[in-house]
Amino acid sequence: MMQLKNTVKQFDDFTALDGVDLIIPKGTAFGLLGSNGAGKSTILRLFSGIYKAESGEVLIDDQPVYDNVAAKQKVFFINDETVQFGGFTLKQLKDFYKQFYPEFSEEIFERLEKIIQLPMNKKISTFSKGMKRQAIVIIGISCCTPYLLLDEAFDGLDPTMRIIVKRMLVDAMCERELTVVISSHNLKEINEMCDTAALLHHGKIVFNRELDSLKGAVHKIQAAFKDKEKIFAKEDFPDLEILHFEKTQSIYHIIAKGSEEQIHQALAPHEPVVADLIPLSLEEIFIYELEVLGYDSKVFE
Amino acid sequence: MTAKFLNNYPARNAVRIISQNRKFAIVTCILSLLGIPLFFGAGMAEVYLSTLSEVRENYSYSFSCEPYMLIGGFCGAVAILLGIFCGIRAFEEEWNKTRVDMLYALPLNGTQRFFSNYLGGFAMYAVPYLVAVLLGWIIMLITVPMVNALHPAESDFFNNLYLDYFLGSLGLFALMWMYYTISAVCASCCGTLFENIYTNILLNLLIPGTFAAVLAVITYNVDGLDFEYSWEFIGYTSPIGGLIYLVYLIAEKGSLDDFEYYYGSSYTGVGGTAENTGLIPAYIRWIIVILLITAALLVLAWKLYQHRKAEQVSRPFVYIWLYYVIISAITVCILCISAAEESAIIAVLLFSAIVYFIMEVIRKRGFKKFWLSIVTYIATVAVAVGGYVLTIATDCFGRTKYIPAVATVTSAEITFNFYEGGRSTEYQLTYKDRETISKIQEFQKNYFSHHDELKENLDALSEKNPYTLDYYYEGGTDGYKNNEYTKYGPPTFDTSTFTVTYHTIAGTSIHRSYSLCPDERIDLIKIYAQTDAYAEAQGRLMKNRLRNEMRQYNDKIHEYEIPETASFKAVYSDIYSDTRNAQEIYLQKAENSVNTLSEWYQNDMKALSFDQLCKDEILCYIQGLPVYASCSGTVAFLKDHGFTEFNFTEILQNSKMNNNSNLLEIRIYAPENYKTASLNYPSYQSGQNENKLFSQPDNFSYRDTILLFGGHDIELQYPKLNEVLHHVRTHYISAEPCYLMLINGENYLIPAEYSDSVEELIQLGNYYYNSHAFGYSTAKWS
Repeated sequence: MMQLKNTVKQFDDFTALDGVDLIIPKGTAFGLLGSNGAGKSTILRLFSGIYKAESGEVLIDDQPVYDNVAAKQKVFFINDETVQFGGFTLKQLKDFYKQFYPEFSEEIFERLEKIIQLPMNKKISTFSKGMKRQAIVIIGISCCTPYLLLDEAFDGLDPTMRIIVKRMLVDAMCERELTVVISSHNLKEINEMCDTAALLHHGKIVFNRELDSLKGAVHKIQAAFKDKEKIFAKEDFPDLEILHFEKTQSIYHIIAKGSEEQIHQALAPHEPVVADLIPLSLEEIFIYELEVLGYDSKVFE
Repeated sequence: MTAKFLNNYPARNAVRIISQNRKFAIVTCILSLLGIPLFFGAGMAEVYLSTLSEVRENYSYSFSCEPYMLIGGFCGAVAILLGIFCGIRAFEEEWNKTRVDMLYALPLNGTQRFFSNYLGGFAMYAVPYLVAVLLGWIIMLITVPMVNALHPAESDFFNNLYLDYFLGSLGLFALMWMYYTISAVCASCCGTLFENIYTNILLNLLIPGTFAAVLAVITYNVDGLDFEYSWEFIGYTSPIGGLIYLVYLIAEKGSLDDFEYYYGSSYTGVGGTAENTGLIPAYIRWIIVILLITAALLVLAWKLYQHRKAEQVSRPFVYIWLYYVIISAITVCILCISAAEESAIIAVLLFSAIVYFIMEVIRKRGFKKFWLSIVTYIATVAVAVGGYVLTIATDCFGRTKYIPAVATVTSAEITFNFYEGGRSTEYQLTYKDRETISKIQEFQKNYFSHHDELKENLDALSEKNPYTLDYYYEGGTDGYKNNEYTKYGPPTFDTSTFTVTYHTIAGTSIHRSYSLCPDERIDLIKIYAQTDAYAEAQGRLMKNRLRNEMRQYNDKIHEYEIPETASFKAVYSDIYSDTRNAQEIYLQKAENSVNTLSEWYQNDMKALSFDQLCKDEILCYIQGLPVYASCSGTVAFLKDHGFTEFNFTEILQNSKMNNNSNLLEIRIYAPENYKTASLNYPSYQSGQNENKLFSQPDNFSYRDTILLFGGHDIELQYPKLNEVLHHVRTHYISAEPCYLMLINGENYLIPAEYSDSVEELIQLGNYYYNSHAFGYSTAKWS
């Protein structure tokens, strides 16, 4: 289990994480969502022992991570850059990491390498962006650490390779209860890969829950009411946690949290003529959740 | 064990560093392996060839190995200088942002990461050097016996190379370690490559540079501290300072080895081997201190590394204090220029401000909060000037007047220069008895009080005694300074530098150096003149100088030796070069005779009273050493070997003729013009040995006179002159004012009891020029 307890991380005057509490259970595929600068990469770097938290705790299997060799051996972190591996060949990179991670599996490495078919003895700096990414992902999986942290992992991969990499990760999760933490702006991928996700904004967690329950918990409502003369406002639906409220002619477009049943109950007193409920995609949830926090495209207007 | 070590993650990281920097490591390797082996190989080949040409007649060689030595030296120097880049590359995650995640995420803690980086870089740096040193040993072990076989007489010299090489290579290794560790400190403190490189370069230059500049300013302005004796401190501070000190130590050792071989000529110390004169202990002390400082730097680098954060990479200075240390040191170095040349103060301030602000712009990458830079610059200058003023005002925080308690002193070593018989001698006498040490300390205290008094009454003293003041003015250690207080002065006397070194029971040494005026010189003579150490030094000096003069090179055995029959000269004064001034003394069984003469001289000097030393007539000089009339044993030995006393008038007559002139010029300096200068040492240093006949007199003052005597048989024509000349002394020490005569460039004193005769001589009116006749200050040569 990976855990942040009231963790604060600051960079000079900027607070990247502001008292964050987070638990990532073992064996989950965890997605980290958030606006730019929300603190996603910071969380990954805290879990991989690169950063030291100003206060609070960063734990892996109940052990503090920073400066702790045993805890760091359980984590492999793939960041959003690949330039640091440029001087290595894939073989050298494998040999290098193999020295530090005792569970490194040559077998897995060879299997994955055969699938992807990367040149073993060419400098990684000569690889394309996607090939570099593939190379480090297969190294990361081959290290066989219980926790794999991926920052923008699928960036630069072509659609086919995305599927292959995803399969690799899923296989590893199935085979050895690998915990994968993925930070990405690509909500579709998080949606496909992760079972749980947390949304971060300005160093705080907006929500942290299973995606299935998350998707069923926010709905887009298109409703028309019997009393056409009356103009309804947000305040007229006190039982609904409304993220977005808009009226076009006699149709109301509402984004609200809650189950279908809860929403119908909340609308009932106003005698809806039409009340269509559509579950939101993760992307829509992301947009509307952050809109509530003042982070929306309207600032551009 | 090795397997276990290699299984450690830190060891793997160290191997990773070397492997990742393979190309750089190869370059270092090539340069190192070219350096020492090529230098020594070519050097020994050159020595072998030159020795071969020396010992084999008709053998000549045209092949020179010196260019290869040069290449070797250059490669070795570059390999050593690359140390900072080894450090920078080993700590890549500290300045290369792209490497941070990769290397910080490895399962290593901060300490493991630091030491594996450190060791990886150091291995890359030092291992090639150690291999090169080993190759150098192999070359020496092969070539030195070959050279020894060719030239057995010089085997001691070549065998000494082993020790020199060992000391040199070990010392250099210690300095390389320090140099590399400084780069680790810089790596821990800097977050960019640029700052890393320039901080490394500046630190290596500034540490010794600032210490040297500050030391120079302090020793220049504070009486008692001498840069010559204080600079060794710089050898402990930094790789460059250490290298200078290491070269100095080995060169000193080499010169002592030479001294031992060639019998020396002017050194009076007990030594003769490096061990005896403390160079080996000095080396051991130095290397221990260097290693301790380096260990402290390593701990500093480690703690700084642990304390810094991964996200601080790409900040120019993670620890800003290092930047302020550097910029302050630069400012202080520049300001030190103005301490030497006060008129340049504005230019110096301007220059330092420009440098300061340029550095600030570089650090800030722009002009952000520039007012803060101005404030910090003003504060830096204020602190530097304040520190300087405080140091001078407090006599370097009381250090200059610090005298260790007698009970804590194991020995006191005094050094002073003496011009005697036309030769310069540096005396180095060591005392371990408390009585003499107390006297030396008393002498120091009197010196302090004398100078304090002078500082308080400068104006009054300038009227009363301009000549003495001339020595004291501004309290500088170099003593004699032309200044406004000395418009007119007596003939120049030599300033004498006196140095005392106390060795304490704690193993420390306290050096002090003073420039003495003649009064003080007399006080000093009172201390050492009647000690056995002085007499023994005189005896040793005579023996060494005579042996040195008599030795001849024996082509058969390729060695110097003292021949069976040899001679030396007993001279009246070195300034005359005619035969009447020198007598050749022939010795049979020269080696034994020299020993006997030296022993007699030593014993005579031990028996000589202070009064005799000051006023006794000097019959002759042997190798610049005075033979007093009271040196009965020495005089008897000389007379046994044909020595007869010199006739001064005869010498003078002859000398006059040698000047191609029928005129004899005698300048007489009145006693009141050099009240304290009744101590006279005929000296080349005075610059008066040149023939200044008919030239405008220098430093001529009231009542000074030039007399001209013409024709032959002066002693018969001028009986008063003849009478006075019979009393002239090349050596006379007294606090009583007396006349001084300058004859053919040589200073002579007429003891005070004959002052009336001198005045009568002047009254005869046979003077060509007398300043009295033209007034005090408007005297002109006409």
